[in-house]
Amino acid sequence: MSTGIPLIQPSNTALTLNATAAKRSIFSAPTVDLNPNHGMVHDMDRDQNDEEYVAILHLDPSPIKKGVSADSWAKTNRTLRSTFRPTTNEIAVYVAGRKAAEEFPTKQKSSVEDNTIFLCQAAIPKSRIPFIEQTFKVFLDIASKNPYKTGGTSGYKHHLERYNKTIEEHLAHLYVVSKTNDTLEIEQETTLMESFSAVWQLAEAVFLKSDRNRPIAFMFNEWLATHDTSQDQELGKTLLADSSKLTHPDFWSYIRRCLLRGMIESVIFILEQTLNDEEDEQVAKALEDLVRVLKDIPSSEKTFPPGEFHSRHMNWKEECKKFTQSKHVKHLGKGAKDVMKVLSCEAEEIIDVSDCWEEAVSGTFLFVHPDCERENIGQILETCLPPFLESTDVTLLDRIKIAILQMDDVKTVRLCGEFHPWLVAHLSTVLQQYGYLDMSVIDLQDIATQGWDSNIHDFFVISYAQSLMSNLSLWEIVAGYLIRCGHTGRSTLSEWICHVPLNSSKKAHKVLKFCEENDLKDSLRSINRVMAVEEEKRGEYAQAIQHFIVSKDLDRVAKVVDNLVLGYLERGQFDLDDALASIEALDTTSTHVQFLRSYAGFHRDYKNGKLAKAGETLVKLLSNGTAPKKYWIVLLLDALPLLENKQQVIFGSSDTFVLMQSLEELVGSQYKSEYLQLLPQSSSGSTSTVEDAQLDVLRLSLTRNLARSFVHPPHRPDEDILMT
Amino acid sequence: MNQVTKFDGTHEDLIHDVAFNYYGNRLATCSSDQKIKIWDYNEGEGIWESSISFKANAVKKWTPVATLRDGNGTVQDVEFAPNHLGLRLAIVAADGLVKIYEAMDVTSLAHWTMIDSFPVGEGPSKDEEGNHCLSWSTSKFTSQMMVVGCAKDHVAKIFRQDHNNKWQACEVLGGHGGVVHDVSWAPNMGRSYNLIATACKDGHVRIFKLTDDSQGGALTGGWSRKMFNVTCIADFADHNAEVWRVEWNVTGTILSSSGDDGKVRLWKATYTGDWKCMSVVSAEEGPNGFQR
Repeated sequence: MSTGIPLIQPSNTALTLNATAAKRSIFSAPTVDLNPNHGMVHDMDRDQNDEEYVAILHLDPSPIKKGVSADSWAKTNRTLRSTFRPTTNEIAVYVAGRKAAEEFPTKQKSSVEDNTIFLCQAAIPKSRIPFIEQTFKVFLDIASKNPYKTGGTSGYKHHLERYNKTIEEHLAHLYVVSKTNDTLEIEQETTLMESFSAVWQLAEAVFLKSDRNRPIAFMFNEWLATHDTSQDQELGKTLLADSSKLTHPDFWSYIRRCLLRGMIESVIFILEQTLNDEEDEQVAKALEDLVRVLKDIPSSEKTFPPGEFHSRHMNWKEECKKFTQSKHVKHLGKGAKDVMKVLSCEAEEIIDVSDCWEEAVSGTFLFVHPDCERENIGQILETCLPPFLESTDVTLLDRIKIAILQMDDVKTVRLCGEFHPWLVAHLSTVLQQYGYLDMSVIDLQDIATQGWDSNIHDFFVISYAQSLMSNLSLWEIVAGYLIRCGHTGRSTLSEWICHVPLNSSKKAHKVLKFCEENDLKDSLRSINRVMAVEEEKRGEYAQAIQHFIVSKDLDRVAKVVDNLVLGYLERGQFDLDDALASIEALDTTSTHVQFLRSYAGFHRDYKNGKLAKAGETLVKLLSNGTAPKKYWIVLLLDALPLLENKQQVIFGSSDTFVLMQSLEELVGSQYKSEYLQLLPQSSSGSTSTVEDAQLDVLRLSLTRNLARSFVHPPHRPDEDILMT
Repeated sequence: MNQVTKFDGTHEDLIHDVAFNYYGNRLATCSSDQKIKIWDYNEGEGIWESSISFKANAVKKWTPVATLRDGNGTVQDVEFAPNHLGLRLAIVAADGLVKIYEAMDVTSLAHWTMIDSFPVGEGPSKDEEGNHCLSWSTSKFTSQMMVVGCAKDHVAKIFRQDHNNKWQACEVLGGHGGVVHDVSWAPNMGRSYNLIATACKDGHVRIFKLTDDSQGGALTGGWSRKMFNVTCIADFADHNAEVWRVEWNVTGTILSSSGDDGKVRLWKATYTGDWKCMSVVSAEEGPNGFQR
């Protein structure tokens, strides 16, 4: 037998790909509460019940063995402790000694469990990463637009559809993966995404103004068919294949559920198939009448002139009434009784035969109030919900759906916040951005009263960003969300980003660039300091100096410069010929860098035979205070070859005076020993003797040069002026 | 919350403390076997690998850079100051004195100078349970502050530098029914108020909210006006046993507490400012899931 007409209408990705039945998970995300027991309340407004449920994780292997009480365990000098792992919100849990071993009278033998460090975290499933990345892009797009300036609020549909598309694509991917890799993670993830999809699309159907010309009854039926897959497709196929359908025990209950869910075409199709096989004329007549009645139902999707749909529906109700009261109905059997209750078009009767609140609402919409306006949904809910809230458990997801149907935006957001950080962050973003949600009425008390630039929407987005911190590969996304969350978001980001491990130079520069672009000054300083320390360790002195300057650690700049000069003194050459170029390009007022720059210039000139220029630099370093005093003796020793140059006199008399004056300032100072520390030490003999010998050489050379400069003054314009 | 991984600490006695480095990719454990072990995170394989193990005086890759010997009693708590204050650390010992040291040369760390010292109570604590503990305020926009658990006094006090850079107690966090075992000042994160958590021998975890006092007028301990309005905004007896440790995450949004009931509890604020237990990690056997 052909099944040309789909038994479930309208078709959707989930059903095509065999969506899973609703199952619940607790570990999908930090604040997920998808446990079937969680949030079950009989009174949906008793919100304080939420806090009665917490996620419990038992360590494996458990440090406290079965049959041992925690109290007696603690008496063996043990307690449980934890430490937060920075950045990821992971905790290291371990058994700790309450007192030091020497303070505890009984020597304890520690077990494997006592010595195990357990790392616990609300981890993000790998399969969710592409979804997180995609939805972040949509979030950025929304955040970059001001709907009040660029074409009003018409853009919401585009963004909602992008979110929808992303959820559907991710779901489709999960369905495909589950066929080959049916793990608990995939199952939980699929359940979560199905929940997102259901909430998202119901919110879209109820809250959005531009779709208001579509009857909510039709949209709800459509939504229910898409998202509640509890109606069994397989049963429909079995019934179609059955040669005596009417005697099948589930035939009429299947028809009833299809009717309540608005699957009229499916019902007509299966009834027509039954009619074809029916040999009893009276039964056939009753079936024929039933099919006729169902075919006459006015479609709530079609557009009618004002008032016409209502009158058509009233006429149809009369037709139904006549049919249900006709004598033919009894030939359909007792099982058809509930179907007749549905077709009575009476709310009480429909609620009575509904299996769940969604069926009751759907049936009431379709058969009692098909032209219901959104503003009047509340009245229908008041009629439909009480029997189900009294007799069945209502999950948190149910409460969210009901809040949406009640058009209670604030309650919707609040409950979504309890359900999952992704859902509340993005749904509230869309609703707030396009004016469907007035967050200002529920601003955070403390923030609002202190006038901080933050609100409840920021709170939810920050919470979502924090839930992503557990996966450091998502740092840019975390940062992207936080930077858009006002003062609180920026402050949180400013601290957190400093903890992001700078595993590679590429990553470090990426983090730095982000901080620069977003003016995170404190973070910039901190990250630059860390980079500099690492660069210094690697011997990349120029980069280290550069980063220490940005981090304003001038004492550390001085230290690097010291290391370089000391290295030179040990090896007789600089290690950073290439790197000097970047130091020279630095725009800095650091005297240490200026000294290093000039000193390196002196060596370069000397090496290239530009002795006059080299000498000039040396004198400047000594006379203008650029060189720290501890290096004066080094500079004076560096001057020796120039003083002793036989071909030309490098230092004029005034320069020589400067050199002599510098030397005397050192040896005459109370800190003489400190200033002369860098004098080359002899391996034998007393220090003072070596020192004196070197100083004598220097003095002699200076004196000789002074004499030579009188006889053969160097020809330099400034020298001429000085001599005059 | 799920158990991501675990590793054997390989100590020969009970562990006493575990600490992460700044980035969370290195971890140190110390034990009654007198050893400190360092563990590095292998990102590629997602496991913790032993890096080095050493006894306190052993000279290996890790060597002591400085030893501070000014104390007159057992050192009971030590904590580095927040970055913006430079390289400083505060120590509180059984003699009831808080001492603040500063590294003279941040590049060598060899020389530490005591720059401040102040008593936290009315004299030294001799009783066995006379535990002191401290935690710095990380706020950049106020003068230096810290909270100190004051042993036998069964209170925690806020100490703050006054205009003359003298440390003075400015507020008392009361209501404790026993020794305060641990205190933790939450990272501020731009909030207009401060949060401080305490772990108490009476089995309670308490969260105190400090808001700037805009009224002024009252005189407290030499201050021209009261500094804060202190409110105990949460008081949880869930552990029902001595609570030894409270700690905030780096963004000051999640509080962990642990105690003799063999449980670690994680607390988080809702948008209405209420604090709720979001997860419990238990050392006992049992099924994972949601429970009342």
